[in-house]
Amino acid sequence: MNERVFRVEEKSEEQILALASAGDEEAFAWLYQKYVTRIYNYVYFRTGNAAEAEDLTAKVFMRAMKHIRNYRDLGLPFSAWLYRIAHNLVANWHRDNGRKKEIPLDDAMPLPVLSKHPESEVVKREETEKLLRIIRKLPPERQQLIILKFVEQLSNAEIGAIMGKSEGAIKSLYHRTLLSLREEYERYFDDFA
Amino acid sequence: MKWRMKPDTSLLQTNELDNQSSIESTLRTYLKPVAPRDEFVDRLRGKLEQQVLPIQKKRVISFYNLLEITLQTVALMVFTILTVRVFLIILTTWKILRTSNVR
Repeated sequence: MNERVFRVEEKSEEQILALASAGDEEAFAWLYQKYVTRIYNYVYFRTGNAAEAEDLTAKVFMRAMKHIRNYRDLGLPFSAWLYRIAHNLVANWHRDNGRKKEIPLDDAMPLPVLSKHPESEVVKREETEKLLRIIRKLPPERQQLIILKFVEQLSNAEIGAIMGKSEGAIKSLYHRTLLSLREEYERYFDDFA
Repeated sequence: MKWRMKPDTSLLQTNELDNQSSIESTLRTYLKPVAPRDEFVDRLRGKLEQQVLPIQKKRVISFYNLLEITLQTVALMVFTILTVRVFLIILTTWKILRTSNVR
């Protein structure tokens, strides 16, 4: 099996994708290992709940495995296909749970940055929670853009490929997203003033 | 976890968010990737492997079924052709013998 894994790793992602499409389980395992953290992050920041993120991430890969034989390389990155599945599942999840429902960040969630100062971590965590509450008030497309840009740290071109838009359209959407985020901030703090 | 922090003590005050760069820097500061639990990643990999194996087994079985049916069909065709040929040979021989006896 180790020889097999080594052989798979020697190939390009396009070749591995072709193998996975043909039903090669080692190739699919390689793709799973590469993308599981990214998909988990995306779902986690869209739902704000570690347990739900695990559940939805599992569904994303189950669905991907079921339909991998129908996957056709249309020049888009494979991650775009996975993000599309994740996006649809998260949309269904929000529809089923009610979009205005407040979802607290899971207490069992690992902190993003480990520090020797627990107090600063607590403050940081609260601030992150506030920020995510505000982000989740944005339309799904804008939430996706923010997550891909700041959590996944992708370029506008890469985000465009994933979201099926041009780089220019992403720049424009990004600018409008920051403006609406500022408005949401102001509204949020006005409510607590 | 309920909201308790007062707005004036927040790190995310509105006066910090006057321009685009301050929002960007806030997002950069607070949105950090999180790692899924190793236990979850391993468990999901196990589940995916279990899903794959039955599909492959099923494909192998159906291939052998197809091979068996093909071989049976070919054998039946060969048997039929040989039987008909033997019958024709016997019939022809019988006719020849009969003709020669009449003469």
